[in-house]
Amino acid sequence: MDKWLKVALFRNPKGLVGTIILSYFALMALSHPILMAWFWNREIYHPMVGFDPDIVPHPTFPSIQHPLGTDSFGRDILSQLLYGAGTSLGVGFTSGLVASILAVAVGVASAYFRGKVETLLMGLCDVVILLPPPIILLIIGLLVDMHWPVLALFYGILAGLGTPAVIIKTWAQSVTVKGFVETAKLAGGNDLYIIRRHILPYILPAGFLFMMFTASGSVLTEAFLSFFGRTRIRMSWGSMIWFTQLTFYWSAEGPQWHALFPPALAIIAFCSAFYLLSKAVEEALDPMVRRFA
Amino acid sequence: MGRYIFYRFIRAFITLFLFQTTLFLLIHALPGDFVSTAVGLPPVWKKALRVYLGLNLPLWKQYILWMRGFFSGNLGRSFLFPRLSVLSVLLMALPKTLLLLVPATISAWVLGLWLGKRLAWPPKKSSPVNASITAFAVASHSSFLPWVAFMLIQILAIRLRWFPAQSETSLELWTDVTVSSSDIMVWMLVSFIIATIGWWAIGQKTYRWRRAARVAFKVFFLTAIGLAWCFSGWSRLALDILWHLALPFTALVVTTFGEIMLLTHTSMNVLRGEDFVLLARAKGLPDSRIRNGHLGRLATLPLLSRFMLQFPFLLLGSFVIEKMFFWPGVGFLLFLAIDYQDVPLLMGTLSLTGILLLVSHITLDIIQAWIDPRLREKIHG
Repeated sequence: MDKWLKVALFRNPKGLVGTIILSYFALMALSHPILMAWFWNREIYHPMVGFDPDIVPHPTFPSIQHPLGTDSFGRDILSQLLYGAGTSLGVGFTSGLVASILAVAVGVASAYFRGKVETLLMGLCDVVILLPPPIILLIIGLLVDMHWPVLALFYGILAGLGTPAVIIKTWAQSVTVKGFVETAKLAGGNDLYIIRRHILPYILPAGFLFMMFTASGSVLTEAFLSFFGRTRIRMSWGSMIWFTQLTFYWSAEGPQWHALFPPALAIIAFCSAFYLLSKAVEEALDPMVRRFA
Repeated sequence: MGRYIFYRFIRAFITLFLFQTTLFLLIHALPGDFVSTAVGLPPVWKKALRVYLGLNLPLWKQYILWMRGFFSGNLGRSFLFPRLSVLSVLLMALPKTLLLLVPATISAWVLGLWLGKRLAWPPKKSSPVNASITAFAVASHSSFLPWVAFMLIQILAIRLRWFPAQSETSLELWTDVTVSSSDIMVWMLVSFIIATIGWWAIGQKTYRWRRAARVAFKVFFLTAIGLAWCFSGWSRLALDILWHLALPFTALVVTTFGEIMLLTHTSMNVLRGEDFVLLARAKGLPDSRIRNGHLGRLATLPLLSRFMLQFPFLLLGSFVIEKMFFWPGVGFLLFLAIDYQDVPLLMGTLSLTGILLLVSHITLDIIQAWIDPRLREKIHG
């Protein structure tokens, strides 16, 4: 592991908090299948079709059987929350990876090769910048079934080819004009070797930075699309909030605040973790910031 | 500088052309069309309707018609509102979106910059107040907008009944009013922009005046604008719109100020150790002068490029808020157009979004080139 990554993930206090929150969510996502397989009765605790027949009026407030209560259909909220963690992690990391790989590839290629390649790729980026990913995903949702990998893939492409590619290009440009790249060219290194050996090490941290931005953006977008019912994702934090606000007063015990807060706080914590990690990466890269912040 | 602006506009024009083509292809790849969403029509009628709306033409013909229309300012007719052209539907909705977006963006920036500067200077050890403000900003930056909107509606509109939760006007006030709400909104927007620029300009001009004189001048200026509204006869209608605007505006500001505050804080921290700050302190300048005059000016420069990253999200945020609060702006139209596959309206809305983004990018590029002469040399595309 590179030094800057180690510093950002574990040494920096902000980064450490981010890492802890993310690993906590990863544990939540992992624990769901285990709980379902051995500890929870599938018919009661299933996140989509579960129902607890022992409790008569649903929704219920938190109790021992249901630590976070149940929603209006009698489904366990904790089970939904754990299941939704898996969806969010999947969306976040897939789209982050796709976006950062694309942005680095496009940015470095156009900075290194210049000329026609640059004109073509930057023209593409100029167009993609004008397509806000969530709105385009609304339209793509009419075209294909929006399961989470599809959503993550399209979000990654649209988000990565936009502003990140342009910014990474300017970073890469400042590397390509350095003396050691010229020297490597004169020494007869071929293009791929020079890019891999001399340019990428300087650009990868920026790619990681945009991975964090994209990840939190994609999780919010997934929640937004699920909230407005434009995905085929059967259970996620966004659809939990949607269902709760739809059935907010369907209860004898008053409004269902207990069902509204867990998914919303989970989204806030999840995206804050990515934000903290991106801050940590920035600080690890820029000693000036680390010294004074 | 003139050369730079000229090339930037040529690039923007080519981009706009490619963007329109992409949109056209994307939207025409959708399965079905507007007619297929009308369930229960007899097939003969459907065929006639397709011919009438021009949906039976080959794709390349529709493409040429669309492009010719777009660049001559004719966006076609909406299927949903057959009496109106898309352009007039959009022009009716645009003031509503801008009235939400522009004041909210400016307020979020002012609030974020002010808080960020306050937190960063004078430098002090971490206090619980600072930590909680920072935590709130991080949470606001990463909170889920529909949830925030829903909470505001539940608490302020339904529980406390302070503000209305829906639409942009209350019906009983507008029954025998001839002027449309869009027109009033345009004037409100204009007076907001005049007030903002005037406030800023007075601050610049009266920098060396006494504090009381400065404040008095600003109050006088704002009172003049207020009086102008009182005598216009629309003041009650404008107040009604403001009352309806309160919740959407709050939701948008609360979710966007956080990022700006955090960025300002970081860039102030970076500059804090520079020599000119030490010199300013050694000269004995008060903290507020160092903060606003010396540090603040430089610290806001890197924020400009972040605005480019943030603007699409701001626009989307205002769309989501329109949907949540039934505020009939461009975002509301967008959802309507997607639901009914109203192709001209959808193309029009997306083009408008694209144009707004493009204009913001061009403005930003020109401002940056004006500030940083090195950028003027590097013309690509």
